[in-house]
Amino acid sequence: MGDIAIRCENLSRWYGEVQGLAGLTVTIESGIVGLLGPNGSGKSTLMRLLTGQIKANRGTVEIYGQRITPGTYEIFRRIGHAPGEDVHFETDRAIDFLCLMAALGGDSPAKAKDRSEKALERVGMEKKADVKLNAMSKGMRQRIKIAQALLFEPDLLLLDEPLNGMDPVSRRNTMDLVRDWAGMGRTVVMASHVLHEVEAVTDRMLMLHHGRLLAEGRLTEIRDLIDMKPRRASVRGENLRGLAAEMLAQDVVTGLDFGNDGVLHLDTRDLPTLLDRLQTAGLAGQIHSMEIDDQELEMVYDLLVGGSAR
Amino acid sequence: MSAIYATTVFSLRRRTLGLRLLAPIAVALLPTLVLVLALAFSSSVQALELYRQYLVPLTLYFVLPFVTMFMMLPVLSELYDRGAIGYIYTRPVPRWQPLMGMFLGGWLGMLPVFLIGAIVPAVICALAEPDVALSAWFNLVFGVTSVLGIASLAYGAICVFLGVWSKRAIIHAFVILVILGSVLGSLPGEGQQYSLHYYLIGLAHAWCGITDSATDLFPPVTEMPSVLKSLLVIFGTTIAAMFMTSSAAKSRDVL
Repeated sequence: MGDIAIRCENLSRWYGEVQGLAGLTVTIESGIVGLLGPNGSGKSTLMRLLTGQIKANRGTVEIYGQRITPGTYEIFRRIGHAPGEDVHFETDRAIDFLCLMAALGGDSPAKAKDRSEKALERVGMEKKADVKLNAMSKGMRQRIKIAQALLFEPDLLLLDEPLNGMDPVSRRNTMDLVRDWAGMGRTVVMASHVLHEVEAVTDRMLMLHHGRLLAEGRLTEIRDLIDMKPRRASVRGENLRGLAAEMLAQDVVTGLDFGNDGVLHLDTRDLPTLLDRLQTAGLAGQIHSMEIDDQELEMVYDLLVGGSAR
Repeated sequence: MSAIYATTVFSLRRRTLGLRLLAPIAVALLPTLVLVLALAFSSSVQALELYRQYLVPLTLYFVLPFVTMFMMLPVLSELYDRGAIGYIYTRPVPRWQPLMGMFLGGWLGMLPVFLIGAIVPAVICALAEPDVALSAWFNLVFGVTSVLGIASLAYGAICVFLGVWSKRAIIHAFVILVILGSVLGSLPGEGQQYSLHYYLIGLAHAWCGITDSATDLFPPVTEMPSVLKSLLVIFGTTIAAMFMTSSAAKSRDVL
């Protein structure tokens, strides 16, 4: 057991008639915690409450013992937040965006530049410093978002769907980064609607459903139940026909098809092996982006709520 | 203070980048179009008086509110609409600092627009009436730009506040800047004292020598507000609007 990073007490938030979060009481200690849930389950609402971007209708949030409300700011020296929303500073170069974020933390221009360059290096984007954000792929912008969250070496890292749109190599590097970060005794909360993304970095999870805490604990207990269910990966990249032939030859996929938008859909009953093979292709530069279906999570919900989750 | 400086630069760059200044400059040059037409169709135009009594009121009553809305409304509302404000509000600085920086950046971006709107017609007028001393034109341009610059502080702060406070900021801004500003300020009677434009007249009277208006846009003010009173009202409004902006930023959710 480590230090308590986050403590939520009876935390509730409504959007008019819609319940965003309902009476969440939870304590998060150091290490990596996966925040799982389908779209609309309350993950982003929780992230926004944790960062004081919205007000709670009821209940409290404390981070490292300090109560968070809109306008709280000093604690953000210890919090790095990569929101789910895209980086909407399109006309800026990556380095300008990061320098702005660093300056908003009190850095002088020279120090902000130095800090930004280090953060870019950490996410493997140092060669893209002068590229405008609107000229980057979604995966690259995701890495820039993570870089801005790391600027001040935060004790608590809040990542909302950080792997969305990333290619396999970037996914692996980001997961390594998350593990390394937590390995230094810090806390990482990683929200995702894709179970295997969270599972790749941690066994601890909080599962939200309709704004309520559905489950909390270890993933391994439900892992075995869903391992051999059919899954689908969708990839974009170059020479996808060659990749498809390769996957079929290796007997990794049970079926495949090409979508109208040039996306290759691969069906498998052995997702870890497929991901391993795709990662190799990704290292060769063949894959630009990849999405995994979120059926896994739905299966978990089915298991937990007896098929009524959706 | 680095947060204020950084956001000022960011906001200034954002407001003046690419073709963004094109629309405000076009609005600022509308009085010039009126001037050109007047010069083209009239043989007995006194350029200095035309500029002073016709173009300056037109600039104050038409150019000022619309350029301010163009430039200042998006300063924060754009960041809210796109969800980008969340990046700024999760930094270890009090929110008023980036808000102040954003406001200053937007305001600085307006100054060249006003300067262009004041200089271009002055140059045309000077060419049309070469007998008038150059210093007279310089003083007039300086006076008009100063009035616009100071006035846009208050109206700009109101726009920034509306951008944070309201999701229908453009409607509210139109009501405050055009109806309560330009229209109420140009109507004779007691009501005009409740318009910020009334105090702009005080400044324009003192700094630009405007006493009457060919457009009837300047109301028949019997008692001109003093420069000091005008400045106090304008700066007071600016400060109040920025306080309200800071307060609204704490109460509005970032969604």
